[in-house]
Amino acid sequence: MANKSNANAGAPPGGLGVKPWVLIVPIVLIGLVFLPSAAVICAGMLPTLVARLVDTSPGRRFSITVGSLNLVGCLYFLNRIWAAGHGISDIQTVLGDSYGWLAALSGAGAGWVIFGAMPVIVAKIADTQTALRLRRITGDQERLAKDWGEAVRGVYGVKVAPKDQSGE
Amino acid sequence: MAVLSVKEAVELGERYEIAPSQRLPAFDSGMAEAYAATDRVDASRKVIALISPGHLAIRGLSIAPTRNAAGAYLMWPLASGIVDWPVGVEGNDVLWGRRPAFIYSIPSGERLMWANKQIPQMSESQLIKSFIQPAIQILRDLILIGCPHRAIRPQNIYFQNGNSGDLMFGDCLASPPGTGQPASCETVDNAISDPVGRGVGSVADDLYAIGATAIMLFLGRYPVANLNEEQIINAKINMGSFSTLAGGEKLAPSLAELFRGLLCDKIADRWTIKQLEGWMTGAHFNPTLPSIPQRASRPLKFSGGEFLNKPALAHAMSRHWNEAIALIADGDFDNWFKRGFGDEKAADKMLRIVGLANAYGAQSGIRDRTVSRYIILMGGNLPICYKDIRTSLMGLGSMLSHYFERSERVQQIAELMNARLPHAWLEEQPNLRPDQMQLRRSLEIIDKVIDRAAPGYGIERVLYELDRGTPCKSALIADYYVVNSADLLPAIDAAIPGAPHGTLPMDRHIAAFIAVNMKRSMDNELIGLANKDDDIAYRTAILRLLAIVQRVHQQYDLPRLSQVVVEMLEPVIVAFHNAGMRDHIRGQIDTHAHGCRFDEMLLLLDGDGSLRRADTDGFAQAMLEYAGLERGRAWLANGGLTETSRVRGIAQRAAAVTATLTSSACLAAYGVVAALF
Repeated sequence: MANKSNANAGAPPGGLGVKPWVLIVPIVLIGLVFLPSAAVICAGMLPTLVARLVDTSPGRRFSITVGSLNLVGCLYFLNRIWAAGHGISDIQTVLGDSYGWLAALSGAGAGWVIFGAMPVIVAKIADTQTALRLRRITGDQERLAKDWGEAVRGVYGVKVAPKDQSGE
Repeated sequence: MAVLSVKEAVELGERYEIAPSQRLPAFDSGMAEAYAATDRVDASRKVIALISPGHLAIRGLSIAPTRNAAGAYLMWPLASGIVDWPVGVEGNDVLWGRRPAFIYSIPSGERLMWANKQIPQMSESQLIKSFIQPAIQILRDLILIGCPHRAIRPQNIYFQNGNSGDLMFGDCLASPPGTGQPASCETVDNAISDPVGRGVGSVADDLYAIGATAIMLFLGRYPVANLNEEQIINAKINMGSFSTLAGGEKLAPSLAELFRGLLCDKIADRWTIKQLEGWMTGAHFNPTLPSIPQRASRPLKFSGGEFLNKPALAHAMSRHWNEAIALIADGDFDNWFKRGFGDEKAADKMLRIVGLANAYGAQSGIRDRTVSRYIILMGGNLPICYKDIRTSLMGLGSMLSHYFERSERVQQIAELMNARLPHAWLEEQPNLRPDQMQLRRSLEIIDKVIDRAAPGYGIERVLYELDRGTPCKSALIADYYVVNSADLLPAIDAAIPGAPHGTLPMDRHIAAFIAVNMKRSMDNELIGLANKDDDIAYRTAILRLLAIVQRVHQQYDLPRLSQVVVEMLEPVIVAFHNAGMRDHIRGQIDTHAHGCRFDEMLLLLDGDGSLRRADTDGFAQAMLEYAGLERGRAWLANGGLTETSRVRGIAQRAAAVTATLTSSACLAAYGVVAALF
């Protein structure tokens, strides 16, 4: 608990800047008012709960990614509960719909996949960006050398001869 | 100067033509050689040209135009100037340089004395009318223009017509003063000096020469014909000049008075021109006693002779240097000097000489310097003597100039200067002439520059400081007889095509010549020449010196020099870092080269100029920029963008953002659809 407190205390000041209960209390109240909807969503968002438990990323980005798309998948449950009249008795029926679970789990799975694939994509982009920047730097350096002579390279102008040329 | 088979005539002005292939040795005057010449305006007039040596200062160039050639008693140039002159051959081509030339009318009478030393005898009245009176008149004329004749000798005097009658004094301008004078017609101090080291002298020297010549004319013979120069000088020192030249002849009292007065060896007692004029009008003066040096109580044996006075010994020591070195180490000389003259301070003087000889100059030359200082002390007004050098103070410049190609003589003069022997000589003189006092100031400058090795200093600077009229001896322009800075750039312009490719228009002589002949101090401008390893500063310094000379004389028609300067400046331009600036400067230099504007070129290339500063500052900025780019490259190469944790962080943020945006879009779409249907 102490560690957790410390972690919270060390959180960056760029958040919403509100106490957690300010959000939790209205949500709980809304959940109580729309209890059937809240129940099916809570059930459908179980993959997000799992993701939250295994999430080690800073800022809980994995949970956010999975949760966002999991929520989209839960829209099927939500639509069904509302279509069924939004009664407490409808909860069991709705949660028994395998298509609903398929939608919810698919959403969560999509989030999982996006989170897993994104580093590969970003790495590829970074590689390309690096190549472009190196090319621009080389161009700028050659322009400087052309304008000011080889001496402008200074200590960086020393070329290391390849081993086969240096006779070693 | 060898006679070259040059067919074309050389022009002096627009009136006179000189034939370089037609030598007339009978009319040679001192060091000047005579050549046939013609007068284009008056072809019937018989004229000759005297061509002066090209390595010495010739005062006649500046003096000749100050007086016209009228008057029958003195040969005076009809025209003078520096002419183109063949100075050598290379294969079949004649090499042309420039030489001082003087046009004279050919004397219609015979020379007074030829090489056979036969002199016509004159009676007292003849002597006065034909020789003394004309001599007074020409001396008066020459005093007005500040020019002692310094060539009065029987060999340089002509009859105005035939071989009798009035006389006419020969040329005195085409050779350095006193160079052609025999020992018999020169004072003791001048006679001991090397002929080129006698200096300009004064009217007192002319009066002495008049006395010597007059006594020969009266006697009708050359009284010292059987003596060599050293014997003549010894006789003059030991017996006095009058006794030496009179040779025991009985003279009329009035003439004896004249000759004693003019031939007085002590310059302060020698007759002046006023006394001579007074004598002509019948005035009588107290008899001038011969100034015989103090006799020692016993003779001193030296070099096979016995010496009873200091000047005679000093003269002998100057001619037998190695024996003199041995002499001063000998106790006999010590005793003779200390006890022979009753001088109580002799021992102090000897100690002082040894002390000063030790104080100035290299350790190896102490004995030479000691001998030299003894000669100065014993000789009084005898010339400065050091090893092979025997020169008057005022003749040091022409002496150095004459022997400049002989390194051992140059070395001796340098040692002489470093030993402060001229200062020692000045201290021994009871009176100094104004020109000697002026040289004293030059000596102070010389003391500061002689040991400096950089161009513009050293022995070359000494050469031009000692005699301002000395022609520049640069290998590039030595043949062009450049004696003032106005002629320097045109001479370089003319000489540069014949020089090997890559020759720079500057050397030690040109730098020293400029340093001496510019009115202001050039020390700051010479700094850049000091370090030849710094090629850029060296070449820029050359340009700066040329630009200064050009600005002073406003000479802008120097196309060949300009081209060479452009080539010389290429490394300076290349030293600019910025390629664009280099191209700009090259264009500007080419533009200025067409107008031969060295000062404009200097503004572009000056180390302190705006372009140079902009280039230096810009280069420093560019280096910083390059280094910054290089650091950026290293960061990228070391995975600045692809570093795993960074990529993961970005990817996670991107995934969260993507999912959140997708979710928001879907919720919004659902809400819209739910609301509508």
